[in-house]
Amino acid sequence: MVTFTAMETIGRQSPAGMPAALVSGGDLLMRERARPVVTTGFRSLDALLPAGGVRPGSLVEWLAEGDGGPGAGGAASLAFAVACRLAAAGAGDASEATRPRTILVVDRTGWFHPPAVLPWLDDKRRLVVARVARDDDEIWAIDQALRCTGVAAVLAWPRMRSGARSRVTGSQWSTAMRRWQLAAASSGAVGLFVRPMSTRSESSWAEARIAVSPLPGGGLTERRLRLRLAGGSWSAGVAEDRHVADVMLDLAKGCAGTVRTSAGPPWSGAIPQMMRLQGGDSCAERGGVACRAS
Amino acid sequence: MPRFLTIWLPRWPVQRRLLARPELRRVPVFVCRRERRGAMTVVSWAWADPPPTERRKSGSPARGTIPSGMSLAEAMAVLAVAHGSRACHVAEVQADDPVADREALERLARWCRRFSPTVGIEEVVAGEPECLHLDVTGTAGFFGGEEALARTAVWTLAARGLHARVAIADTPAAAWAAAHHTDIVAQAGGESSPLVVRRATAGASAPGVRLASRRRRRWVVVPRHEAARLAVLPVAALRIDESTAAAVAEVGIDTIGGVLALSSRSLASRFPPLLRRRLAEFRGHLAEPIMPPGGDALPQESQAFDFPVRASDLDERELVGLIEGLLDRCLVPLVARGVGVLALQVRLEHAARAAAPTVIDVGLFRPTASRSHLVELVRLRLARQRLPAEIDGVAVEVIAAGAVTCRQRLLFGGGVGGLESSDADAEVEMLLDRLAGRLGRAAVHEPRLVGDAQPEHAWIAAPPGSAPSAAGQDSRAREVRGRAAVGRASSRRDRARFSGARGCPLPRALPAGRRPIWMPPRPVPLVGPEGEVMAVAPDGPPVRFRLGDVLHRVVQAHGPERIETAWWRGPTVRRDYYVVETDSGERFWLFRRLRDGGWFLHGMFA
Repeated sequence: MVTFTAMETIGRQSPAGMPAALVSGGDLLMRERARPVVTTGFRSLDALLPAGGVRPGSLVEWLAEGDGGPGAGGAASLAFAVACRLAAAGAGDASEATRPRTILVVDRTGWFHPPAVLPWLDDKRRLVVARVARDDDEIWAIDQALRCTGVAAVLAWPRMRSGARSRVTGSQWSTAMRRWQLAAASSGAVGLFVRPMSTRSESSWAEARIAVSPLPGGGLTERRLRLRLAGGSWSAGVAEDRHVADVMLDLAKGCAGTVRTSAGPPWSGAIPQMMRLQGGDSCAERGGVACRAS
Repeated sequence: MPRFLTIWLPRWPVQRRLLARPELRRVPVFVCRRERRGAMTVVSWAWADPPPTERRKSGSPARGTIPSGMSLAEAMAVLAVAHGSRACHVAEVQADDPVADREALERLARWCRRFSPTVGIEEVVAGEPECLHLDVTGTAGFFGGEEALARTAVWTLAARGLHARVAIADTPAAAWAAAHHTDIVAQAGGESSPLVVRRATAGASAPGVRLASRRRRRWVVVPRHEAARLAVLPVAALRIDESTAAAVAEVGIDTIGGVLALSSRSLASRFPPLLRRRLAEFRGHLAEPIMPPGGDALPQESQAFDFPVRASDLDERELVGLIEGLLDRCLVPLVARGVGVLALQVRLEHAARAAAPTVIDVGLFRPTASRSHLVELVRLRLARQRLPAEIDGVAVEVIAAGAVTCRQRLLFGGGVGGLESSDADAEVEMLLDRLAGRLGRAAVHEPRLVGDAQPEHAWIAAPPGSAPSAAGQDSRAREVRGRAAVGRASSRRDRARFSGARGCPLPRALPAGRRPIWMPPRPVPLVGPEGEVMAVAPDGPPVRFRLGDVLHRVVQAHGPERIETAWWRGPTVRRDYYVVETDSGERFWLFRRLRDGGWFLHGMFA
């Protein structure tokens, strides 16, 4: 008796090969890896990300220390710096303004203080803030923003309220996040979500989950952060020895800070081959923002 | 008995500008007309949200002593005497634009059709109109009575950021007089005669707009008592010109009651015909027609049902489909003129239930002629709207329209991303419309830096797409404003550096990288149950502090950065800010209040 697997059955029914709607996991992985990525401006962070940068149409989670509050660990600042980088990549594209450049912040807590980050933006009118008061409004607003092809990045801190936890359950969160992932994939927008570390055990549809913890030291306008790859759908592609990295965030410019020889990063190496910069090879070409390994 | 409601929008030219640029609420705003030889005369002025110290100067000469027609130089001198020279430095002077004022008032008149189908703009002898007349005969019952209607009008306009005074009377002239002189009516016996003039205090106030007293914003004059109870009002309340008022004053008459006491023969022989005409209008002997707003008529379509339809039987798709059909008919004449919809009103009539129509307002940041986009916005609002039990009909009215920017598409598409920049911008605008449709227009904003050293007031939430605050301003005026409003933001170490930047607008002088990305709405006191602070030196940084249950040990502190607000802008804020880093690497923004040494948490470098 001859038995066929499901894929073989489909293949037999379609002599020309596999239907276009069906792809194997390996092909899907190769296809995703072939998509262009945008560098974050932090070389060590790029190495931490599975694609070697932020892939348009994906979600990235930043797990912050503390639970139920915004914390003071620097995760939101780093996420916004990456959002600025995504917006700047659109503005400096070789095909001149063919990419989205708007950053939309969905602020549930009402604690977002724009003067801290407005100096980081070349075009300050590209920042839009939407304040939401309810869980369903927050989920809807993020979904709508991620579906918009004119938005470069959506920054939000869902399930993080000042003084109290959200009432969205883990399963509802997972469903909402899946919707966001599909929305982002349809438009090319990037979702950057700052979440408390306590949600690390929950399932996630993010391409990468990065735990951010602060390190002592650094100047007044510099911030040393330790990043750990804490999961994500594509995290298996990153070698184990590259799961930890340090970055120096320049709070005045929102980019990588100066290199400190005394506090060298655990990883130092070449940019992966798969990473391709959008709009030129030199990060310094865009508004004087320099990208150096921290 | 006909009844009329008058909505008075004091200093309308200024209010219109404050709606467009809310950051101007903090400074004196002068709307001026340029006369021959370059002289500037004041058309209207207001200081909507002055500092508390200036607000307390109720008897200051600047209040009410800068009339329309005064030269700008003279007005500035009066302002300097009342509020100091710094108030003149920060004052905003804008050119008069009566056409734009009129158009904005016409848009508001169309929007006010939610209260009555007959809405008109007042006809003025001189100056520019500031009032709307509504024929509310028989419609007040839908709102629960005349007083409820007046209250609803005040509240609804306040929600739009407009300060209004409202009065209801038998004639438009009497309503106009009562709306303009509510204070006099109250003092002269309105409060002691509740059967005649029912006083109602306004419970709502326009956010940040305090152009007049918060109280006595609405009056309902009981029918057939205008002549008796409004007799105490000055003669100017009859809407007469200055020469006629002077002629009346010459014979020693200063109130409407005095004029009413004169015989018709005496009136005809002594005074201009305008006075007799105004008196006849006041008494109701001469009808005063209410003309709808002029200009290009904006389309309105409606459909009445043969019999009331229960909302439970009406599918949402059917209702949206009906609205879409009406909207389509409204868009046809607009598209032919090259304009799009900027504001839309959908009314669900249910007159059979003796209730006001359910109104769905849809506002856009940019004009659009896209039917699908408008229908989507209506659908979003409908989803959150509580529908009436029965619906008699549906009406769709375009409240405001604007020119639509037409773009030529590229033959071979838009490049790599498939989108041109303009297409991406259009997508963002549609997104913002959708967000504002569900979350509310106030919930979606562009943050903008303003010239204020106090961190809580260092930025404002501006409507997306609105003109930047620096547009059209004189560079020297901006420089002076920045210097005056900056207060002092200095550090002991960098005092020279930041004090040297005083001549620049504050947005440039903000110390980059020294502001936290998270800031609580109010500073959190670090005493009592919230926390505690320990500092070694009396004026030094803290060495440890407790926030909630966590004790933080400070390993590094930067500061102090002293922030002081200018003396003239209110209770002086004097704080020494420190950026403190704890042993765990977290960074907080703390300040010591110099007045009493109290410590507060004012931000986190999240």
